[in-house]
Amino acid sequence: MPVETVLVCVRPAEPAADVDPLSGAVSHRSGSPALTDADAAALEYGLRLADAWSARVHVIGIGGPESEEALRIAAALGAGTLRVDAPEAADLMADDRALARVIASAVGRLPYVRLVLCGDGSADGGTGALPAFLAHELGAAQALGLTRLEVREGDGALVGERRLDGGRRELLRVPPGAVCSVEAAGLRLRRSALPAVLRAARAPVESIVPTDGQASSVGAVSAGPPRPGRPRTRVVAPPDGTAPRDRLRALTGVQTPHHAPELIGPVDAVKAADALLEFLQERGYLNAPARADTPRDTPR
Amino acid sequence: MSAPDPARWADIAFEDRMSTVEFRVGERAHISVDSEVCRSCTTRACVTACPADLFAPTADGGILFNYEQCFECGTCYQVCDAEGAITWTYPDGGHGVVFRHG
Ligand code: SF4
Ligand code: SF4
Repeated sequence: MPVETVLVCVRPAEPAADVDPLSGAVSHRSGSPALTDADAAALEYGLRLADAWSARVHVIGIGGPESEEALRIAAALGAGTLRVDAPEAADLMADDRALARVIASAVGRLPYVRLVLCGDGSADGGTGALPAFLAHELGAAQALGLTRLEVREGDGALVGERRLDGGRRELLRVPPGAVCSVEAAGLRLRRSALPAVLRAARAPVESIVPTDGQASSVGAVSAGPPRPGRPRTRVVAPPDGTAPRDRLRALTGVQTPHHAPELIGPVDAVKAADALLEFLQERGYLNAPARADTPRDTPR
Repeated sequence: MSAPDPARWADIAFEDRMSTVEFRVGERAHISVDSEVCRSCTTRACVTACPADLFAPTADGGILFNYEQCFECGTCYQVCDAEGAITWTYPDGGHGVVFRHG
């Protein structure tokens, strides 16, 4: 039986902007995540489903060379990678329909694709339209905005869950070959082992360059002016307690034993170092000195 | 008491949370904190609980409070066990937090 593939599509988020309140200068915040939460959730679902089906995970990333960081995270988790070369400034990045066409052409290079997974929306206010365009290009079924996706015990069917208005949910049976987009709801991407991370950091990432015909959508719908982003709602487990006060206390974590926050200082360097050492000893990061009266100038 | 879940708070960055709201700051502080009462507080629940991070402990054992980016959620008032530490009202009309900006 040929090995099946679970395909995950990821795209990097725009770096978040910081505005200096005094000077008004705008700078890009460094360290923005290589994978958006939704893309990380798509990858995690991809890995889980691949485990369940004994399939391979393949990740297609969209963007310039800077987007390879996301692909290396996936490679460290054992996924195959391919980058669709779309520099940040290129029109292709803003044209989901053309992007879908390029990805669909890449899908033909992979062994039998059992499922295509995408993140639902992106941190930079993306429309979340790519999976729908992709389903159209592939002629596949689509299940978008899923909050859960799993193989059902018993009949082994792939079942997705998504929200409906009024707090209701619907369960969808997802057929083979479908395109699904998932929310970053209550799911975290697993961590990879350090040797795999180091191996992935050195591994070359294959890239494909879209041909001219693929890279634009004639007659594509043009969008209006951008608006400030709104994070999507997500599933959060209800806190314990029946009274509002109890629920608030459970929700904010004030009931769990903790050290009350305190400000030490301003103090001189010696006292600051003592406070730091005491803190580390208290939490078990350092062994306490053998004798409490050890002279300060004795080398330890 | 349920087990603490440190990952819960990592879901959304503080800056992201604050960027989704707008504050129309009124002249009058709608919440005031009596730093004298706070001096004998051992839990400092408000510092842990305030989602807008508005309570800061001071070196002399008191609490420094800034009302300007308050979500008006009432959490501080609910979690504080010390009588008279927090005086809480809503801001004057037209002022305060505007949710879901945009
Ligand atoms: S406001 Fe209440 S909880 Fe916060 S430090 Fe003062 S007494 Fe303690
Ligand atoms: S009402 Fe909410 S946001 Fe405002 S100070 Fe109290 S805890 Fe913080």
